[in-house]
Amino acid sequence: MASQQRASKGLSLSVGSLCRLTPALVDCILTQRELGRIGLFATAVIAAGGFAYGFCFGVWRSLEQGLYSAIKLPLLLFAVVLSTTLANGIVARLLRAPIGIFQGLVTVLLSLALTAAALGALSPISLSLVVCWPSSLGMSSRALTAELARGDPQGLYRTAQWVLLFHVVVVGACGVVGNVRLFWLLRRLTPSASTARQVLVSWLLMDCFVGTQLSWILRPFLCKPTLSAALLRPDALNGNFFEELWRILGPLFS
Amino acid sequence: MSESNSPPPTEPLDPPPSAAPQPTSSPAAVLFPPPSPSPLEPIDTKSLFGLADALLRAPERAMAALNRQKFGLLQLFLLVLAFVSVSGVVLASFSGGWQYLAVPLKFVIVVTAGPLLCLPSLYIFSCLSESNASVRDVTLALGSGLGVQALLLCGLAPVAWVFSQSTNSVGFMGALYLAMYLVSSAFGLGLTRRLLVQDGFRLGHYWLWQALFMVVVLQLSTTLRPIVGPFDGFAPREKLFFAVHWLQSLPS
Repeated sequence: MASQQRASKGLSLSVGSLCRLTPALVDCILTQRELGRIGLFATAVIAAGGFAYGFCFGVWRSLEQGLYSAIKLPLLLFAVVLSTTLANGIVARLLRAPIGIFQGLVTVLLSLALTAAALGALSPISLSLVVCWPSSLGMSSRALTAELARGDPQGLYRTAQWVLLFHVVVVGACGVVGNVRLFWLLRRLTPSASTARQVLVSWLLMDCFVGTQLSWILRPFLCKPTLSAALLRPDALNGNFFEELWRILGPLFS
Repeated sequence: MSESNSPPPTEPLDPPPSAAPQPTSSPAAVLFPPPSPSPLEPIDTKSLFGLADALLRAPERAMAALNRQKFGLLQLFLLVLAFVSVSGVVLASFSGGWQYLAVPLKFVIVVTAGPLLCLPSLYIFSCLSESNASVRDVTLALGSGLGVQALLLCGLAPVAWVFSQSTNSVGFMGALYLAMYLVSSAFGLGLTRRLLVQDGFRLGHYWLWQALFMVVVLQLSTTLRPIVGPFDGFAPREKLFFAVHWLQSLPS
């Protein structure tokens, strides 16, 4: 009777209900009702939040790079979800978690939407800080060339590293928020806490593995001050993240 | 705060007429009349000074009254604008000239733009705390804190004026204004915190947000410099992180 009443009442979706993971929303996921609508809403939140923060990411270099990064950040998030949905669904089944592939997809979309909502909410703060730090924003290419020839490009590089670190911390913190909620949701979808933990860890490993490579392909997001703004690097598909990592760390072990 | 932990109210907030003490004619009652229930004093949030008074004396009730009013938020914004502008004029008296125009403008931007930039994150933090506050509730809580801050800044302005007329040290005045801002922020943000925690906002989330807020405001004040010192045009100056600017401003 109560469940019928809940079903007839309908689900109201908002950023607030998404962040709170309201009982009605969780109930819909558990009973696999309105999954399409929830997934579409989460997709819209990811697109909006990712766009807003992506712009903050690239705008330190130039407005053009800001727009490119605004397009690429939500694209990266969607690409990670699409690439891992099938594998995540299979892994969940192997771990004896009663989570269907579509149910798992919506669950992951919800956690990413939470991350994106937090990123979108923090984007005014990030923007106000990033545009106030020394940068090449607003500098013409001739002025930038002159600046680099005249002065010490290391100064701009150092600032670029600090800006990158700032964004990594913000994105990382929002990612943690999304994953904490994902675990909370998985705990309700699985019979035990240990199963939920196993599913979360395996999904995270999969997403990180694919996500690092996809972000490597879609680089640059920040763009070095000495390079021109670009949607993709000409050598985007040459090499991969792990080869580059080995190139940097390899000499330390030899 | 759970209902079960709170002590039962000793008297109703708005006692019905039947609950009023009945007149008695016993001698003891005539000599030592029982204390009459003190009904809550009415508050006026319609006028600017009435709202200012209500914010200082009974902020929770003022917020509830503003929430019921259609243009409550606008009223709060006008109050902040008025009192911060007055404080800005007093701050400008240290430098004089064009600063009488520039400083109030910049001060209004610093005090209002910071909260506006941080409002979306405050709402998301509120939702993550599983608080039931709506966007309007969060905005009103932040606006009420901002109102108290603006009133306090205005109240401290005469103190700043006394010092501004007796010293030429930009460093000292900068430090004094910063101290004024921090003290008023402590009271204003304290009220915002109290109002939000009542709705279930978690303290840990609030402190994190407050740290972000302070960084944004301090960076804004650095970007809009000089607020203290001679007028240097309206064009933005060299971009600097606020901590770097402060280190450079320290007397060597």
